[in-house]
Amino acid sequence: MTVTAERELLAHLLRRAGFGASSDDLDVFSEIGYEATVEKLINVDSETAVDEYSLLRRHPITEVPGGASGPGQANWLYFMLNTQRPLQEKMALFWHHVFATGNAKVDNCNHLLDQIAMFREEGMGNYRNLLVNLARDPAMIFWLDNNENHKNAPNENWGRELLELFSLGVGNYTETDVFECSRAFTGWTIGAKMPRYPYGRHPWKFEFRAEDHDYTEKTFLGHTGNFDGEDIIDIILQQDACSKFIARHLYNFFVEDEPQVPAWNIEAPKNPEAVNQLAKILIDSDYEVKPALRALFNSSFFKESAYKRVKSPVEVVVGTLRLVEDVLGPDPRLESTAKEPGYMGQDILDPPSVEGWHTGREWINSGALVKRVNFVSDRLSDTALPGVKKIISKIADCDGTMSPEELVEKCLEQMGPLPVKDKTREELVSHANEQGNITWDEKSYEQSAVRASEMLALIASTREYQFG
Amino acid sequence: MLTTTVQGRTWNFSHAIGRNAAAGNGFTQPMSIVSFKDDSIYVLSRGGDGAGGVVQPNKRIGKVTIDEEFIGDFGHGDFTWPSSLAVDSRSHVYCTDEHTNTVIEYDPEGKKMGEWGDPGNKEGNLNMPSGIAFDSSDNLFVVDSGNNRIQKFTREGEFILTWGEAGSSEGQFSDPWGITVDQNSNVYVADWGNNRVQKFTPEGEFLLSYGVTFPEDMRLNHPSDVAVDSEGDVYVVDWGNKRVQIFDPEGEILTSLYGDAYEFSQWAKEVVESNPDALKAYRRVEDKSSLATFERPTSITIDSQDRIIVSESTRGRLQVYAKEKDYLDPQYNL
Repeated sequence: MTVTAERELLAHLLRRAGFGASSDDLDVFSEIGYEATVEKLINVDSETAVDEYSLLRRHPITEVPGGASGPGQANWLYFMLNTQRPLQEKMALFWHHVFATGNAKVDNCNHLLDQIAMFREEGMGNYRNLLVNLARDPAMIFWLDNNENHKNAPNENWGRELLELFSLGVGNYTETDVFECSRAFTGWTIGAKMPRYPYGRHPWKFEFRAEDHDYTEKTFLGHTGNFDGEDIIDIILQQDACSKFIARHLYNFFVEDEPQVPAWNIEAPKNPEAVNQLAKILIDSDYEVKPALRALFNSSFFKESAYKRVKSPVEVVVGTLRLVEDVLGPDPRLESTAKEPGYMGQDILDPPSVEGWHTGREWINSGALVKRVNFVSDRLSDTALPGVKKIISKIADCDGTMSPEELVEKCLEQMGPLPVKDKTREELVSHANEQGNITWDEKSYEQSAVRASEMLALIASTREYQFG
Repeated sequence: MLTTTVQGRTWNFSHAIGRNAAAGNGFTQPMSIVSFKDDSIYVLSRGGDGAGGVVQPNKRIGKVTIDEEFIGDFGHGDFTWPSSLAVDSRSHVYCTDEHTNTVIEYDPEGKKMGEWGDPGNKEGNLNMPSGIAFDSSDNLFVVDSGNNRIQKFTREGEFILTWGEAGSSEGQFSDPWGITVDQNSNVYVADWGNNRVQKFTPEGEFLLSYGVTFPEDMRLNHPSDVAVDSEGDVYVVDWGNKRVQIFDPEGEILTSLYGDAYEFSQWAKEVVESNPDALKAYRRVEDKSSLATFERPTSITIDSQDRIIVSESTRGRLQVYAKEKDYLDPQYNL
């Protein structure tokens, strides 16, 4: 493999398993190689955790944001922008897609952030643990009405979504299974909490109320017994459909855009072999997530999947800010910046429904595309930003004068490296040609930097940058 | 515990002040408090930054009495990240803004008199100024957090002296926060990132560290502020552990306060009693301990009667303790 190809592959890995990489980052990872980089991403303990205290000191409102989504989103954005464990944060985002829970109903970002923290800590651990924790998670209990799921009046919301969207998918259970599943989770509720007035939010706590639990026999997915919630989860995990469902989610999130989840029972996976391979690894490892991630990132289907996914708005915003080094650390703009993914269609902590976001091409519409391009272009054309300065200094590292073709090549190298289609390259070169060669002597540096930054901004609007 | 007694000292919980409110008789993430000679307290509300990125009106300086009378507030729109308050001998109020790197001065009526401060790391420059405290000569010590140093200015902002640098050795700092000056003009700094409080002479000579040599559960975790009472006992806001640690003048730990506001403040009571649903909700809760305990304490001030006042950023509340001088604890078997 050529050095360029290896660098492109690493950049692809770091876009998918993280939020992209600067040229300096790629230098570091090139030293250790692809497989070691995968291990570094998966074994997060080798890197220090985000310093949350610095966030809470300078942004105290983000500790207990209550129903205000802005400070809640700012809290998570801070983690994504500053993490040295990018895959850990990416997995939190993955599970937020799958186990979509929204502030529109929960009205409590404190507990949504607790849920995200749980995904952060356990998202690369065991899927069974995640499901059990989720079933006890106060935000989820309120979101899917399990606090209204009583022995004498079962509420099927949690039971249905557990099967339909969190583990098996439509077509792999019956209406009776939904009812029996729901009965097993009766009494799994949240304790009475103190009201938000007058001192702000007090925590919700999971509570099992034995007197409200249905202890009678249930028949679920062909098994009969006096099941409780954990028994139900164990039976779910025995289904082939479960491992394939989670494997397809991993494939959709990390490899290639799949159809939207509601279509999965009628449209086959784009790569059934890859999904089956990941599903088998999940089963063989008793649903440990790390082995599946390791296999995924080292697979040929992953390595050949560059630009087969449209970046989510969060990936666009976080990846760009990390690249240009803006709004890193505490910053008064943190809260307003945390709204940006929402303007592009992805309000974090507030997905449109329990189904989560429709991804892939559905991220793109006329409004969202303009927002995406403008957001990235505005930042990459700002030559005062530290990351842009670094990029430009690397572009300027030449004999003094460069041709328009060289300018385009160097910009593409710094933006990825980003191998664009010939037609795209022609357009970029054509634009660069309008002002001829570019000179990097002391006298011209500032003006040349502006030209280079305009080229970076133009590249931000390419299909390749917006896909990734 | 409403009463905390150790070795000849007793602290009695008195009452709570305030509630979470974006305006009027309440506070929004109170970050700094300073008591004033007429039994009043200035309270700095940090507020949020707002989705629009504009300065929010909930950032303000409120003035209340210790008996919970709302006097008024000022400073709306003047700051981005207000951090700390101090009052000089003329009763002028000073406030640091750790984003604009300035110190803003107000007269006793809350009229803005001016501001000073230039960003940077040269002598007299500021980089994220946080805690401030006046000495008896109206010189202002400023915790220059981003530069990991203490700087002393005249109240007009003329540079006098500085000490400190980044690090964890004696006299070095890691993102320090609060500061106070005792009756002997010694200076105490909450060395936030180093999990300790350092005591210095007025000229910056290191004297003592608090909170570093104790058993694990008694050590400080990111202290945010410090105050000294009339008998020399030292109170440290143990921000990370959500408590106040009390030390004797030699640095030995005496006890801890964890917050005791089981009763609502007057303003809080008005809100709850006007909301039947909230009243019902309180009656359904078995364990109300989280109502009483400090939830992210940020700042501490001690008034002329040795009443100890602690602010809590996430509760929008102050808790007041009285240090009893004549407390008797007869050993009756009650």
